[in-house]
Amino acid sequence: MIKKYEVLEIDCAVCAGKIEDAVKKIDGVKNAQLSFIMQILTVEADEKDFPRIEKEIVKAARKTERNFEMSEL
Amino acid sequence: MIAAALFVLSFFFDGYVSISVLFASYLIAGYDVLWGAVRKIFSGQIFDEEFLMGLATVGAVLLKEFSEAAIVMILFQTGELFQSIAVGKSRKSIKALMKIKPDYATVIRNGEELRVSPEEVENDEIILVLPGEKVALDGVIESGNTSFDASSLTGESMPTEAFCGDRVISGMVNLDSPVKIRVSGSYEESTVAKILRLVETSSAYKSKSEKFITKFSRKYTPCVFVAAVLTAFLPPLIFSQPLLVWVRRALVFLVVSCPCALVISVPLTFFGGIGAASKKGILIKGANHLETLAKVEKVAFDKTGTLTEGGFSVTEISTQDISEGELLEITALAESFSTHPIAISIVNACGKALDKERVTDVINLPGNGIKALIDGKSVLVGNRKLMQSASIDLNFSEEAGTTVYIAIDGEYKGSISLSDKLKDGAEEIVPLLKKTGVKQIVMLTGDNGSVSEKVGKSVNPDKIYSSLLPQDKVSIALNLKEEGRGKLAFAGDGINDAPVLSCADVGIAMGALGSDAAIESADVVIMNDSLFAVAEAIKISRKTLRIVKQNIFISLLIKFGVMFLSILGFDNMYAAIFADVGVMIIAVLNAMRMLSTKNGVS
Repeated sequence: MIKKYEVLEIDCAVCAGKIEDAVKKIDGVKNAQLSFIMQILTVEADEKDFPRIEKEIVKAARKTERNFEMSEL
Repeated sequence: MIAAALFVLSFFFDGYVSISVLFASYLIAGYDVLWGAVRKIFSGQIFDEEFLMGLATVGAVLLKEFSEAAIVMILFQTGELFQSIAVGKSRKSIKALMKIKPDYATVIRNGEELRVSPEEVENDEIILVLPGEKVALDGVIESGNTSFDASSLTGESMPTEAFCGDRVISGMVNLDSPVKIRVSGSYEESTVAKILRLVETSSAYKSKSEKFITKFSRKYTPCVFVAAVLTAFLPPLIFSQPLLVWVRRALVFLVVSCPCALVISVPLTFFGGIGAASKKGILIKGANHLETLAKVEKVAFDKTGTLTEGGFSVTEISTQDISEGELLEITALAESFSTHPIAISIVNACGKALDKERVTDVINLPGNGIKALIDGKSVLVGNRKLMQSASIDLNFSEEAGTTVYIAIDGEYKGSISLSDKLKDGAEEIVPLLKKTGVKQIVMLTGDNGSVSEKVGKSVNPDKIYSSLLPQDKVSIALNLKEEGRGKLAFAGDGINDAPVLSCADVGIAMGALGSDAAIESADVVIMNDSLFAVAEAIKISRKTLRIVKQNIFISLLIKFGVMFLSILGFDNMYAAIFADVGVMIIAVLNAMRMLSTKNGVS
């Protein structure tokens, strides 16, 4: 299934690219895309994996953008 | 602010006092950057903006260049602030494009008006739309007459009137009086949902320039970093130059090593271009298509429904041993299964309710006509070629205009002539396109030579291909694609030419509001059916690409220029900071020109 999140506090496009790459590397994530302009992160994964994946996304993203916040759309 | 004040204050002191004031200023301006930089070391991301900026200023501090360290930090922070303002602003104007999304729908259930989200409305339910409200779902007006503002969908600012029985498309705004609409299909299937999906996913289709920039930026930063290290240590080691001088010069490299200006401005410009186009009712499905569109040098137009209105009207009926009414009814019955514009106009001209059960064994012969059994009789409806292939003799010459011949049980029974009007702008489109740099414009049509010549005379394309079957159009498009340089755009109505739309470099579907096939197979969808929009789309795409190139060129020129000057000894931190944040702001502002494109690109 596919979920969409609004992401906040990403100020630079390079960082958005890095975060997208990091999310793609998370175990169980089939596909991910972060639109810097729309501030939307789209993640495809199995439904049961989402609670764990969400936590890992925040953790991975904060390495790049320490104020990173996201909420499901 | 405090940091800047302290910085100014430092001018009034000498020696240690000045230094400590400057150092304080530096720390206040840069503590979060420094803290971020330290964290980046631990997470292994050393090619990060914060880390590089931190390293550059710490280097300056170690060289006892306190005022430089402070000013770099202050300017960097100011630049970041400007950047987030600029990015925030462009995000806002892009989100404004998404305003067509309806927030709610007023559905009438069991006589009660309920306000629900558009997703909850089911097919065939009745919704009420008050003046000032947006139509939430596609449907047909059940009661009431009003006028609608469809400008957010089509860019057309003139209100359109709609009466009971008319089709209404979601996203339109009701202007006059309340109407009840019978919903056809769920919200997910509605025009608004489709457009929104299209615009949202358009950023996923990345252009070659974007891909290039992403790749480039991954290599650029490490390369500059290595260059900085080499600059700092090689000359002192090899030519026994003073180490400090070269370390200072290397710091400049670190400051300009962030590729943010490019990485931000390229997608932003593309998105701006897509946004500017959508304001005019032109939907471009992705940055890749926008980029191809900018390289278009050949345009092929389908005639019917694209250069002409496509709404034929019956002008003449000639009969042989049958009444006019009967001939028209039989023809309409045969055509009632076709979506071809001619078929639709004959059905409309008949005006009667048709009993489709009288028709069996319908065979569609694309480009030629239709064969069917009506009331048990074999009916042929189609062009001259079809009659000839059935060895039905037409003992008169071909006339200009579109004529449908009818034969029943192998006997010629008469013909129906239809004519089609040229669309607005059909006579201007060729010179307009030539002005944007299109070199070759051709017209494709399934009609015979005499009809296409008549249209061709007014439109005046470089070449006319007539009497084409759908598969001929595809092979001509393929040939045109190969021929010479530049890309081929094909503009058609998307109903009968979907294969051509998808095989051209860029497929432009005209007047596709509500037509699924066109929205799916086209790369560019023109909502308002205007030919001028084709030229507009090409102009917007060219302007977008021009800005993208300007940004890439300016950013790299300034960055490399500053690095080069620094090697020569003009190691100015102010120039370096300009080459970083300054360039980025310039690039973002330049990209925003695309977003603010309002009334036509000139």
